[in-house]
Amino acid sequence: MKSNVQVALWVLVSAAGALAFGILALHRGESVSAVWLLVAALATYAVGYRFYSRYIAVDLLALDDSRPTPAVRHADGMDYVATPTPILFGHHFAAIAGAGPLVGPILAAQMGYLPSTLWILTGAVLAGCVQDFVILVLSMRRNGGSLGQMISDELGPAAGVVALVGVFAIMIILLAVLAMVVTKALAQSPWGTFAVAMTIPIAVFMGCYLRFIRPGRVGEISLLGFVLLMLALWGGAEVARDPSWSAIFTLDARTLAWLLMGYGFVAAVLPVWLLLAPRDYLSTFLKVGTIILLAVGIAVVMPDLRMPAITRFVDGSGPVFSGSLFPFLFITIACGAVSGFHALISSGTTPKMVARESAARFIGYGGMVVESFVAIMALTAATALEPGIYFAMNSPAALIGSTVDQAAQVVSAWGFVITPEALAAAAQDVGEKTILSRSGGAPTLAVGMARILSNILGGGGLMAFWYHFAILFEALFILTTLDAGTRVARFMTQDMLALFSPQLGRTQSFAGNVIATGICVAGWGWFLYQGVVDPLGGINTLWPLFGIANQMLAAIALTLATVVFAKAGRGRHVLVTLGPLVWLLVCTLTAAAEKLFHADPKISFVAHARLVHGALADGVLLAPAKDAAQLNQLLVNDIVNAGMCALFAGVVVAMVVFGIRAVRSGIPLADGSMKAVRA
Amino acid sequence: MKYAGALRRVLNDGVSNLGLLSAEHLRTLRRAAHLICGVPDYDAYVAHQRAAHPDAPCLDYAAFFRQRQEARYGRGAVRCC
Repeated sequence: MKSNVQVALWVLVSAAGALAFGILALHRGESVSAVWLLVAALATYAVGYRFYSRYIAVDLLALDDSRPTPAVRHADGMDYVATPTPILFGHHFAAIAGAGPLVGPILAAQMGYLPSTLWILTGAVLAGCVQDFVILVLSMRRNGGSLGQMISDELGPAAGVVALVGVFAIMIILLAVLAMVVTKALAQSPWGTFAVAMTIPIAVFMGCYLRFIRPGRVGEISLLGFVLLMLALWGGAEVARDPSWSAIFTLDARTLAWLLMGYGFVAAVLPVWLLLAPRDYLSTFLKVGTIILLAVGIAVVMPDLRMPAITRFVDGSGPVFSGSLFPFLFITIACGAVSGFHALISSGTTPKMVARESAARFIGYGGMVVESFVAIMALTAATALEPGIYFAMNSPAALIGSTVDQAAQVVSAWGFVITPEALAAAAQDVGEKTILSRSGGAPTLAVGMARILSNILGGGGLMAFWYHFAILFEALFILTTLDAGTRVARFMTQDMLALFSPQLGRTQSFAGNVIATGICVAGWGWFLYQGVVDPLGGINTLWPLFGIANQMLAAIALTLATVVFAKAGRGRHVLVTLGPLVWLLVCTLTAAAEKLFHADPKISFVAHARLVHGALADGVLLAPAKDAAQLNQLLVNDIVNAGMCALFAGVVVAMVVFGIRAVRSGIPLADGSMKAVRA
Repeated sequence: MKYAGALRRVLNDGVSNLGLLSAEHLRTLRRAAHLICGVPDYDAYVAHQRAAHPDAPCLDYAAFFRQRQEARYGRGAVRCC
């Protein structure tokens, strides 16, 4: 009887999902309610979680609660602690949630809401959630071993080194692109710049409080920090209103880029308790809280999606990023569908705290389901805007000009009708002078969020507050990623420096610290600065590189998993990871090949380099360069970007070769537990 | 009257259950909030230390917090994109 009810329930869920997909796909008209997007998403997640993750848990991984987890076997009260599942879920989700799922879907919205929706949902259920879940279990079966360690064990030490180089390179690109997003959001915005700058003294105050006044009282100081943050936000509005103060905090992108590099350097060198840790507490709470707030806002307001289901930019001519739907949609939306970075988190602290094996399903697969839903929310916020406003915000000034009249004319000519008055009003609503060419995703999300949240709290009068709140929320956790990530990269650099000079490799050495940090900041700073001076906005170049890198990391993680299952003789079940692996390889390598060999200089670094080289040889100037030196700079940028792209492709191909070799030549399975098939 | 008594009982039970539940929930929330920041349950640490290493010294909360902070951020923390 009960099973009949269950069957009926799941039939109903599936039917609702199918209906929602049908409406989303076939709808032609002004707008369609976001409710269909949410129903399609929730039904897909529910079915994926209930059936597919169960199949993986039972048939592929043979999760067994009678096998003690590392949290039980190595209990030490610190790293290895058996933790109740809901609590560990919160920890894991907070660690995987970042800016990626908020930015990628917004950039990809230029192709319409439908392609992004389909990729986010199928990608998450069949690839992203699977990767997070499987890597979590593999690590859990190896006492919480890291991804690098597992690759060394299963694919050989050389593969481990290649993976390390890959992780370092993706780290540099990630930091550059995130810094780029903040730069774009804060340029010419005294309100936002002031509020974000104030987070530094607030974090230092919190750090001192936690160290000296009431040690370890995270909750109370985070609450106090939040109050101070809101004060800073209020102060930002006052700053923007006052001409002399607003002049101080109105900065252009170049200045901001230099300031961010300085900040990243100092924050990574200072003791962690002073700035890095307290900023992380604040940003993590704000991040989780705002995501919940956004979910409530969307559920209550249920906005209409105004973007068409599919726009003409699927052909690759879009202003936000160049390149056609395949393969570029699949690397633009990385996080939210499948994100290689999660493999580092799933093999980090989480596997050391799982209380029973079966809990890994909810934490690993379920955590990514929620992350994917964050991407759906970002997509909702972006596509609920008038398309005209979306394109005016996300197209570079080189295409749409720098006045509302020019922008309205160009964007309307693309078929997304908008008036100059509407563009000016949209900027005024959120308390900014202009919203044109604010690429990078964060400002678009902020406008979308402001419109949704001001519908439930505060009305139109609070729109400017909500806009800057959203900017602050994104900037805060991006800056946290920036300093924490620079520190990670610094230690990786010192490990490498140790090969040449043991002196510099000593992590206690101040000189070693400063030199290694300097190398890392120079690395991401170079890409950041190159993006800032790029007339096409930088995101155009950097985001695809980042997407390729992130999907490359996912391919590495899935290669590891596939090798382990193949060695353990899991038969056709290997397809669970082999399938997504093949898809990622096809997307990543096609994208890398187009970035290198495509004929269109808008897409290919090499074709662009050829164009610049030709201009240099002929002695003509090519926009945006104003003299030969700038032309040379463009050439160098192209060569470095092409080199990075080739490096990522090389790493992923090498990893697959290592994987095939490991299965063929039989590097023995480092952990036999996968062989134990449930009877 | 019979019903009034039963109603009162139900309400009383409901309220006290609510109180109990929320205290437990608050503790869970607090624990989750701390773990999000990389600080595991201190009580669990003390319990473990007492049971497994009764002779070894037990860190006080301030020292425990510092140790956890250094472990989480000392070599940087991988944050997701």
